[in-house]
Amino acid sequence: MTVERGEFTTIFGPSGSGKTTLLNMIGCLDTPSEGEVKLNGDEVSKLSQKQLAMVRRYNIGFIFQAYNLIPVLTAYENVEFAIRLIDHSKESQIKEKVLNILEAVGLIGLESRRPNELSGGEKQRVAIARALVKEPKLILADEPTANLDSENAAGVIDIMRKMNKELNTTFIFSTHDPMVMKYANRYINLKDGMISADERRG
Amino acid sequence: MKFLWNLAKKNLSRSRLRTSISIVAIAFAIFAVVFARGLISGVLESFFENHIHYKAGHIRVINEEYKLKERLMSLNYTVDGFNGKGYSEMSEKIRSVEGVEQVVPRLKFGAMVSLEDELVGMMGWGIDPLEEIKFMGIDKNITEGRMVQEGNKEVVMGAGLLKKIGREVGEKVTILYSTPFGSFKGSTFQIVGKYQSDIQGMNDKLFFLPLGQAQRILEMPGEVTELLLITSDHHKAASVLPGLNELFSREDESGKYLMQLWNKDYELIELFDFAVKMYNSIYVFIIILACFVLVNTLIMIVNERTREIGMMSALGLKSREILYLFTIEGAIIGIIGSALGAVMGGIITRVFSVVGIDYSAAFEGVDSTVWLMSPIYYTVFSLENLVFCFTLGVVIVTIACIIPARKAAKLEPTEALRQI
Repeated sequence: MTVERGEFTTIFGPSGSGKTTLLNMIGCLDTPSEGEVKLNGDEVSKLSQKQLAMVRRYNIGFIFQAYNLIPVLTAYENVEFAIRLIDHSKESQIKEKVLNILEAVGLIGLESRRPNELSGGEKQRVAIARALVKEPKLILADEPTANLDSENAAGVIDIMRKMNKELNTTFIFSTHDPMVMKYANRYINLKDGMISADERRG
Repeated sequence: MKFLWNLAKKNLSRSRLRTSISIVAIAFAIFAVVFARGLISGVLESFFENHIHYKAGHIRVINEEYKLKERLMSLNYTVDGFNGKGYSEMSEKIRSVEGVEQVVPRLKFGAMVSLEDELVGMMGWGIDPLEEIKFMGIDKNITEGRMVQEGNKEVVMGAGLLKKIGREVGEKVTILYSTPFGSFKGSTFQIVGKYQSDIQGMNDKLFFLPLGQAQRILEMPGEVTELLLITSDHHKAASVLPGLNELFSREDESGKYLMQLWNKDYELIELFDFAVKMYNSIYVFIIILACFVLVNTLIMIVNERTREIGMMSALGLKSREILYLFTIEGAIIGIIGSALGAVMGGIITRVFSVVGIDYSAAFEGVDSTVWLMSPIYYTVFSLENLVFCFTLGVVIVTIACIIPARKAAKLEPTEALRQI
């Protein structure tokens, strides 16, 4: 399976079909026991732990089902945390980047709230902003809408779609929600760890 | 790395109670160590001061043989000057050695007073009153009457001794003693003063008489049992030894004299040196005990934040950075706890350096002429102690934190993210 730059791909399949494992391997969090994963042409399993961390830091953004925001940091600080790892520019430049991305995901005005003061949809938008702020080549989202109601889920997918178009960021997200998968322009079906369908839509 | 510091600081506010308990545990340990060090310094300082005053000076010149017979108060191995020319000339020459500020002669001997139905053993010190006043401020301990004066046939007696023999200042006392030639004699003296020392054994046994009188009754002209040499700083007394050695090798043909540094050749002092080293390991142990609380807290924190650690790995944090983050969290607790402990310990140590702690009950039955222990101790307040304990606390706590922090750093990202 090859994913091209700028694709908006959904991996669909029931629980236990291997969606998360596949995303983890693409995201350099895990290495395959068989076969190989190439990212930008580099064989992932040959990289050291430190090199893998660097690949994740500069090239990959993650969005989790459970948001995984740091509870003691505000929305702004959660996003800032990700960019501080790669960007050592001046405070004012960092601030501008963080506020721009928060604006893009519709969170301006909520930036000083902590995660426990935000709704599920808002939290997931913070997580998206955190993944996007460093402008990675690839964003991996593991069931990003699983904890959201349909309205919020649609909102989150809309934002991901918008970012995909505007920044040409590659998105791969897993879901078992049929409602969400219709937004994708490529659809991969997993069954028992194997790809059972791979379709592209216009 | 600044953002990791900021995050670590904010993380501490997650469970304020838990953080506070860890801080209190560390603070308490540091407090205990500050106080213990202050107290032990006080005990040692008091002991060293007594040891220097009553026994050793900064350097003591004795006859080499006297070292073995000292406890018997032998008068057969004395300091009689270079080649038998008397101690005075010797004192003069020693005083001219660079670094020696004072030479205090003493002639110590055993004596008795006969009561109706018992003999009371005593310790007589033939002294140069002016030198003793200058050296140990002996006049400040005279609570009644005055100090003896050279040339007069008079004594000053310890308060306990006076009570034991039932005499008062102003009365006369007949003292029995034996000369180095073995003859047994008695002499009557006027009691002119009462001496009150905080060392009970000295109160109960000691009497002073002018050195000239002691030499006369004992038939030991020009002889003393020891010369105490005083320098500007007892810690630097050893630096005077080369000059003294040169003088002695030039002037003394017999080679019978021994120069003892105040902190060498005395078993008790060596014992204290050993004890101080042992206490240092006890301090470290106390802090390590307190660290258990903190390490336990941090292990709980790591378990609670497993998913978060996985998320940080996913964001691209290296294992070392995760280690760093958790170590900083522990170190901040260590810094706050150690600072609080040092301040509290400092305050209490300061208070007891003025008020003192009374150990009289503990010293009942202890022969204080041997131990030279004062029953009231004053803790020593010093900035050095606070800085030392604070630094020790921060270093040990930080090292201890590496254990849970390593646990966090070693988590596999996928495993960590799977945690609920």
